[in-house]
Amino acid sequence: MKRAWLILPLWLLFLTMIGWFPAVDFDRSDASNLEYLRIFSLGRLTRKLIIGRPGFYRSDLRLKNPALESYDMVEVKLLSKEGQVLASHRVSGKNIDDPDWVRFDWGNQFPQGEYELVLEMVELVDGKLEVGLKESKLVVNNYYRLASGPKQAITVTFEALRELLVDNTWLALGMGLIYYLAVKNVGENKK
Amino acid sequence: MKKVLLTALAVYIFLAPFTYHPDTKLTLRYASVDQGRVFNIYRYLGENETSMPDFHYPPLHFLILKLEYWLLRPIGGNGFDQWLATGSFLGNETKLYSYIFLTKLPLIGLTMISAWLIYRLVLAMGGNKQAAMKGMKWWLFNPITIFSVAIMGQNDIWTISVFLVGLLISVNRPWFGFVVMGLSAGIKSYPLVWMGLVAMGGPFGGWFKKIGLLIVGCLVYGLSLVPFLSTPGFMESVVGSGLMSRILVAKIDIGFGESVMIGPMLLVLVMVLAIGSGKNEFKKLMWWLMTAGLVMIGWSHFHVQWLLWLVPFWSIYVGVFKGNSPNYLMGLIWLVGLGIWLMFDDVFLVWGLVAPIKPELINWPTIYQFFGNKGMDGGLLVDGLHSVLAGLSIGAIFWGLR
Repeated sequence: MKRAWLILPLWLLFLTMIGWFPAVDFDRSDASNLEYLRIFSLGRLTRKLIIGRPGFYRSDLRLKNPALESYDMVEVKLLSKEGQVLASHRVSGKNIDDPDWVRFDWGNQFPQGEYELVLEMVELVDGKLEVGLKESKLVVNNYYRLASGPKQAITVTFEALRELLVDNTWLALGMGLIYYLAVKNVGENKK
Repeated sequence: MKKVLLTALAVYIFLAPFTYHPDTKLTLRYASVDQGRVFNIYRYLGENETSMPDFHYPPLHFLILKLEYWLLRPIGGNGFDQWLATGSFLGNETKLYSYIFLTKLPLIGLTMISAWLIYRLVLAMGGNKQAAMKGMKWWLFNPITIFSVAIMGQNDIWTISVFLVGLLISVNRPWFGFVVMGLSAGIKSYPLVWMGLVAMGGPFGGWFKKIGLLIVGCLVYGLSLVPFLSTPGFMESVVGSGLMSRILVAKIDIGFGESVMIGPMLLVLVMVLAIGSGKNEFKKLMWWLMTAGLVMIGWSHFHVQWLLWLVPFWSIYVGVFKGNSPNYLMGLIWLVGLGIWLMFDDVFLVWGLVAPIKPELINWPTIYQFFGNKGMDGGLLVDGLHSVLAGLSIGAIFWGLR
């Protein structure tokens, strides 16, 4: 009770710690009512990705291995706007579910910009492996690793304080009043 | 007392707006349906297509939610109503902190009232002011209370505070006290167990009076259900809900398709000991009430916030008891609670709690999933923690025999 003043600094420390904590965010695609088509019959499939924030590091593609019977091998590539291959992965049908979000880690964090995703068959075994398309486009989820560290921690703390003081002023006043009364009361008792 | 209450209030008010669990918002959403005009939620959900799951709590719980809603809506305004309608979704409203705080405001108020009730109960049970203050601090600054009320916004505080009112009244006016205890069971049903223990183990004179008191309490509970019994789906939603039957799951097979249910068996043991310990006094009764809560939680699949059931009786007991109270027991309960909380396979209960500050944390896998991704069985650790708590409940029974 004697150290009621500690509540405010501990609370700020709590906000900062949460802000420091690394986090990921993602853009999720609508995977309802997809059209599944056999990959071998589609040739080379591409999808332009417009990445609006830094930290892009992973994508999920919607694939489907009907009845888990396919052993087809496909390759997924991430290309720069200029057509340079930034990363690529090969995946066999035997590692794909029916259906499945198949995850591709790009091994790097890329800045915002324009990219191209390419899906193509590299080993045709049975031709049964399928891809989920929505309006004839590949269905992709993209992930972003958010910055963490002192700068991010301070940003999150300041943002929380700004929202509290500007948008939730009555709450901020209430918190301030209770804190003042708690600290003042303890001070009076100490005398 | 003012000093303690203000400091506690500051702690709670600094945590509540920045931590979030969907249940607090979801339960208030029931009260807000059709602009708060629905009084029989069971019928409404049965007759209307909604995205809301069944309402599993007793009718008085719903009425209390409505009371909360009527009090909070004028403060929160239309935006608050619209936010409630978005279901479990945290939302990104500019007044988000205020809305979250509003859902917890009545609960924080009740926690402070409960602190005062604990203070009064310790005095009523023979403790001095220093002892009463000790009990109050155990309640207000207990990590379980802070977690359940300020962080989770758990509605159990309603049941607990009404039960404490009944308990305080029953010290001098037992008949009226049991009416209030019956009302607390009407909010959530587990106080029926506490009521049985208080009636049988409390200093209320002869057996006829004890049984009479219990009947009065049960009658009040029953009456709170009566207007809804004819509503289709009410029995399945409330009486037959999974929440109520959890304590019946742990069993010992005795053959021929029959079994002994461990939770109820231990509750009977606690009751026999409470009656037969020869003390028949309130302060010892507090230990048995705490133990009964520990049995109910220790022998069922529980959520950490339910550990709140133990804390008021523990706080009163520690306040009144003159010898060395087994603080290590509460320490172990904290550790098990912390472990179960961190290992809970529900992101809303772990990282999701701080989502108002950093919403993207909700995308992290739970620690349980992380264990699974690394090829380890997190379930084994959870089972171990449950076993420790079950063991502690038996330990508490033995400690009560001293």
